[in-house]
Amino acid sequence: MAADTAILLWLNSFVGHLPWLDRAVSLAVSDYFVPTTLALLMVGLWYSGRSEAQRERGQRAVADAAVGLGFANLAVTVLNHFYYRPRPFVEHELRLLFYQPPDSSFPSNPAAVGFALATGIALSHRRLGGVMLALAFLWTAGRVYAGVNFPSDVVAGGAIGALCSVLAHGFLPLLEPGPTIVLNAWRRIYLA
Amino acid sequence: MLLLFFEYLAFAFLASMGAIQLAVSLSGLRGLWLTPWPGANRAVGALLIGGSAWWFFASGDRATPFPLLEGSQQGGTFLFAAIVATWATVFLIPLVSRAWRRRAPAAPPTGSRGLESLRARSYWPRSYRGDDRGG
Repeated sequence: MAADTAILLWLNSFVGHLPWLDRAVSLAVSDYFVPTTLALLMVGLWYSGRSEAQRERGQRAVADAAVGLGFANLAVTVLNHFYYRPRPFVEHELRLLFYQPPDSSFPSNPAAVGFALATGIALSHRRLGGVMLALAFLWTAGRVYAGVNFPSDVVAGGAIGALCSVLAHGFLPLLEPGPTIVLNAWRRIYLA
Repeated sequence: MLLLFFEYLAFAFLASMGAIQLAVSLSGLRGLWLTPWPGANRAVGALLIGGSAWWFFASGDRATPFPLLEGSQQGGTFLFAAIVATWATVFLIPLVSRAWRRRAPAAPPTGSRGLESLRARSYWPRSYRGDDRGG
């Protein structure tokens, strides 16, 4: 825990020294920038592929990521029900670049969301998944810099998100032919 | 709150249209192209994404909790916007890009299902004219 706080205080000590970095981090940690960017990358993947087979592979990866996100949200909700950790700004004097969220700091929900989506894609599309993992890392590291999460919060959240997407990746094929039926139904209305 | 919802909806819709144009220009789904030129479609896609993002983040303070779209609200809004953007691309773009359809080059063989059936022809000629030769 001492290392956790030390890393937080060290990172947050840079706030106010480089205004351009503070502005960039403020944008990166906003509730809209990274999640929307990740979602747009998934929209792009949904339509990419030079053949129907390639496109279907991408669409199944998007499904993995979406189901993984659902699992991760469920896991975080259950954990928050049993464990509450105050935000770092409650216990320490920090320079905040973000509003003060009232919910539990542990585990970080944005980290769970970001890593669930990125891992779901990375399992079958390494390059795009790598870009998404980098974005998820920026989002979550930025939250530590901005003073709203401890490092252990984002590590735990990221691990939960990644694990949930790995589970979804293994789980969805077990539901066949369900996913294929859904995909074919979407094809009939030009959504896939 | 309602204003933020509509602002985010507009952002997500326009950015999704842009992402779709970028992707289909690379994947060769010509029935969804806004123009006959893939480079122009990519440029339009990038402009739609960049322009809508700039407008959304510059038009208000997005780092405040009041108002705020919670994660599930944001996800639902984005999904709705992406679906509407898909249908707008499938059904509306061919109506405004008739010039392109007249000038379309010889098309590769078409698939038969969903988006793949729009690889070489738009939605409307297929439905209304039964024309398999493309635009």
